This record gives sequence, C-alpha cells and structure tokens, in this order.
Amino acid sequence: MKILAIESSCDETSIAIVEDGRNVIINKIYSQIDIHKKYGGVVPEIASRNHVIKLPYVLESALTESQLTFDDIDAIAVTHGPGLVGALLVGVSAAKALAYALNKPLIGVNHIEGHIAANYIQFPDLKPPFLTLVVSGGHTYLIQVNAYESYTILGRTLDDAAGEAFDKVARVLGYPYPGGPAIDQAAREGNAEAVKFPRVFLDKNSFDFSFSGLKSAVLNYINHCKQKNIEFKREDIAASFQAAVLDVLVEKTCHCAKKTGLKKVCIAGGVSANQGLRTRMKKQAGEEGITVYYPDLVLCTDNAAMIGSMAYYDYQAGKTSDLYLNAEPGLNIE
Amino acid sequence: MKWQYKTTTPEATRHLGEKLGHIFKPLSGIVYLTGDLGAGKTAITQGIVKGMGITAQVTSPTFALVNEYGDKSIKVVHMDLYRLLDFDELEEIGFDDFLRDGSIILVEWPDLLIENRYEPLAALSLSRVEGEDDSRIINLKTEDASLIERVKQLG
Repeated sequence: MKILAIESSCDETSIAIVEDGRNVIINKIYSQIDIHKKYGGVVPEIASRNHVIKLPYVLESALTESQLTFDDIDAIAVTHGPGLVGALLVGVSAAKALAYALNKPLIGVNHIEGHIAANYIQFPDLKPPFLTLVVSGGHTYLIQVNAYESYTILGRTLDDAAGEAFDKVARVLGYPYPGGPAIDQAAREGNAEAVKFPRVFLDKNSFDFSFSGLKSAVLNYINHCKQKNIEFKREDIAASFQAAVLDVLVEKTCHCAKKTGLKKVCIAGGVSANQGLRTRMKKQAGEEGITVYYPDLVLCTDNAAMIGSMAYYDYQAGKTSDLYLNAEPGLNIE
Repeated sequence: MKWQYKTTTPEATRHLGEKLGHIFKPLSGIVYLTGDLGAGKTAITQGIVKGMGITAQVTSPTFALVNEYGDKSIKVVHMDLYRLLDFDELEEIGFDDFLRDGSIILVEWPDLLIENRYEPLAALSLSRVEGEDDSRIINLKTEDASLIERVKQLG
C-alpha cells in the first residue's frame, strides 16, 4: 500500500510516499529555517504563506522523482496536529482536496505519533512495545508504546519543552535559531563542568519534566557575571546547560525503562538529533541492558515520511478521516 | 492605578497567581504579562488558571503561540506574541474570536497590542531582584477601580 503523506505543522513543507509503513519511496523536505533564522523563530504568518507557495512544487517533485502518478497512490495522509494552526491548515486543505479529487481514503495523523514512527522506518524490525522519549521544540514526553495504536503517557513537561529550553538559552547566548544544533556544537567545545546548573528531577517517582527552572538558572548566572564583570565563555555555559538537560532526560528515561521493564528505548523528535543526547543515552541505557534506537538526522526533523509510516498503521486499525478533518493545534496523543 | 508585590520563590509567584485568578474569575479581558525570559510568566499563569477554578496542565505557549484552558463556561487563553511580526497575524491566530468569547486572555510579549492601543483589563509585570535569584517584583496596573481595590486586599 502506497501512502502519499503531507507534513506542514511548523517550519518544514514536506511530502513523502511511503509503502507499507516502512519503505520510503521518496521524502521531499523544503525547510523554511533560513527564512525564520533572522527572526529567531518560526513566524507563523510567514510559515503559512510559504507552505502555500512551496507545497505544489514539493508535491510535483515528489511525484516526478519517484516516477509515480496519482494512480499509484492508495491513500492520502496529513499531519492535522499538534502544530501552528495556519501552517497545519495548508497541509490539511491540500490533503482533503487530493483525497476528494482522487477519491482516495484520507488519514489524519498525529504529529507526535509520526515522530515515533520515524523509528519504524529506520529499523524495519522494530515493533511495539517499547518506551519512547519524544523531545522537540514543542514537546517533551515519555510514552509507553503498547501497540501501534496504543499509548500510555508516563511523563510530560510541566512548563517548557526541552527543545524550547535550548532555543531560549541559545537566544540569550547569542546563538542562531534553531538553538539546539548550535548549543550541541558549542557544547563539544566547552567545559560541561564549568557551571553546576540544577538538575530538576521533581518527585523521584515522577517521570514529568520541568525545564523552566534551569532556564532561569542560566539567565541568573549570565546576569550575575555581567553585573560583576566576570568574563564567561559561552561555550562553557552551553556545555554546562546541555549537560544538565541531558542528565535529566537520560536519567528519567532509564529509570522509566527499568520501572516498566521495557528493554527498548526509542528517541524521537527534533532534539533526538542532539549528538550529546544520543551518546549519553546509548552509554547509560546500554550499561543497563537496554537497546537504544534513534533515526537518521533527516527523520528526526519534521518530515512527511514519518507521517506516511504512521498513517499506514492508522489505516490498518481502521482509523481514517472524513473530509471534515480539521487542523487541531492542540491535538493530544491517546 | 498601581499595586506592587514581592515574592521570594517561584511557588510564591504561583500562589499569588492563584489569588489573582480568584479575582479575575468573574471578569473578562486582556491581561498583559511582561518580564524577561525566566521571570515567571508561565509560573504566574499556572496560578491564575488554577485560581480561576480550571484544572489543567499549564505549559509554555511559546511553541504553539496560543494555549486554551477550561471550557465554554470559563476559559483562559494564554498567548505568546514574541514571534508575531504584524497586526494581521493576530487575526490569523484567532485573536478576535478570543476577545468575543469573553475569556481572560493572558498575553506574553504584548508589544503588538500595546502599539495598537488595546485597553487591557490589567497589566502584570514581573522583574528580577538584583542579588536575589528567586525573588520577583510583581507590578499590577489597571484602570479598573474595583479590581485594584480587591487586589490591594491581598496585602
């Protein structure tokens, strides 16, 4: 079964064709990051306008390069949330138009579930159950994936998402948007022991996260240095900040894996591209007999292939949408 | 009219928010929330939402731009306008709809609204205190005489 999938929830306009949930025939991604860089973040109106402009070209090149036609496509899938409402609407409208005009089934996909499914593409033999840490600019979740269509949320952020903390600290340190890659890079050059930032674990038995205190601590430290004319290396702050985030993410994930008895951990979402996170998780989880999975960089960022993969399992479970499908910026998992 | 309060911990900021939420509950309108990164805008919002009797996990609105809590009978809208560039974009995120709903609308980085001379119900600003990392000075400004009366009773 070949599914044509559309993703336009934030920065990226992407269209992919995925066969049977695992085989990516094509995955075209047009990123607006360069456009948004100068504003220090995604500008919603610019994002939706650009999705409108880029989407037809991305669609055309996806079909041309894969040498497929609409006749070869069995269903249309689209991210319908969570994300920016204007950006989501572009993809949802396009998908509905295609599904209606071609008379093919329409499958509305949850963006977070899509991030998890990126691992299905990378690891063809990977099957639930497993534990997944979803970390991105907008989300931080620890989710037990019981089956393709069954999730139990075990932890979530109580304030800022992990990726948001990266973006905001990067902003303060003068690094470009998106902040994650810049901090990850700088962290390799800095001393992670330079500043001891707090590790917020909340209750020992809680798998929830809180990153706003850490963000404040970084700001306090910088203010303190400026007031007292103490020189600081921003690489050291980046490294110390990243170490604090990773300690919490890795520690909680491993603890959660132990408690649930799950021997497989998948990392998903934009922050799963963080080299420090990958290395730390592999090492610590590995020592505890847990296998760690994360997708290639191209599948970590927003892309339509992951949506096409998830859509296949939605379809198998009979979860299709009608033409009333709407963008749901605050769509929840479960 | 102005009122000032000092908190010394994030919990105290949240607790003050809860008391303000009680006061805001029967009202509607825009509340500006200003303060630097990490000043406690999300923390005070968590308190306000709770104080208005809404049970919800309040998180940062930065990524989604708008978070809504509650239901038709009582609703709080929490926005972050940092990334909006011009007035048209406000419309795109449904700002007018929220205004018509009669909700309490908490707005972080409200510069666009200030430039366009919106009249807020109240303006809350949070600022850091030099040498006291966890302390915040919270200022509330309003033109509503009965609101300031009730707020002053908080101490």
